[in-house]
Amino acid sequence: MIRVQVKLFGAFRKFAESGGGGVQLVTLELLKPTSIHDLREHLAVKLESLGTGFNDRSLVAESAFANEDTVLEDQVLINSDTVLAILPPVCGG
Amino acid sequence: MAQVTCCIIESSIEPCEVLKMIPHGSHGAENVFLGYVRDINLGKRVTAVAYDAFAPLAVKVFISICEEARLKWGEDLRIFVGHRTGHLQVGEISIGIAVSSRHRDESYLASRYVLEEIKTRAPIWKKEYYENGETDWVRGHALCGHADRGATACRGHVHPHGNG
Repeated sequence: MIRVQVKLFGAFRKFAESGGGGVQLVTLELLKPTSIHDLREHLAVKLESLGTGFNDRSLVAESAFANEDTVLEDQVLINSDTVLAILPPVCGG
Repeated sequence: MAQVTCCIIESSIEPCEVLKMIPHGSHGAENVFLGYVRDINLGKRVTAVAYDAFAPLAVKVFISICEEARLKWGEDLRIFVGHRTGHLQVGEISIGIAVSSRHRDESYLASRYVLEEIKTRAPIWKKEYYENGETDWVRGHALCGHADRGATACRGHVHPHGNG
């Protein structure tokens, strides 16, 4: 089992499974190595299952996964436990 | 003092502090941009905003953008970027950018470049609070890590809002 903790930001924060101290999370459990492309579907399914009101798959489709160093491309494979962030469309400045 | 200084700031940004960040005797120009929370967006009266950020990555993106600016307009440029997070009232400063250079052109051009790139690349989000009691996370620019079409296609999500 591969355990991926996903930090939520912006519009995703209110759909968290757990959290505190300014960090909101969901945890995905993967049965096999999974690409970032496929991880997006896992996240959408998980968010919909939580009963926290998530129903916006287009937001997931427009969002990127990242670690603390970089945004991850679709083909990147997640094959061990890790912590990622899901980044909805940005609006700084 | 470092050539590039970038930070996420949880307390207020003071203009005089931004001005103090990058002085250098060999530079004849300093360009300071301050972005403020505006009271209207897309026809809706805004009373306040909240900024959220993935701080570790946001600072790295700021630094990358500043380094790009130094490659374009001179490696002797000195650049400061500070972006607020948390709850801000209308009229508060959301971002401060200061660029100093030997001559004025480079500081103007680099300042504009840094701001525009931050708007489309930095992992920062804005929630608006409206006069009618509603709130909304502004849906800006997709970061496109997943997009087969690349950044150009995703930038079709641009909304005409923001500072400046």
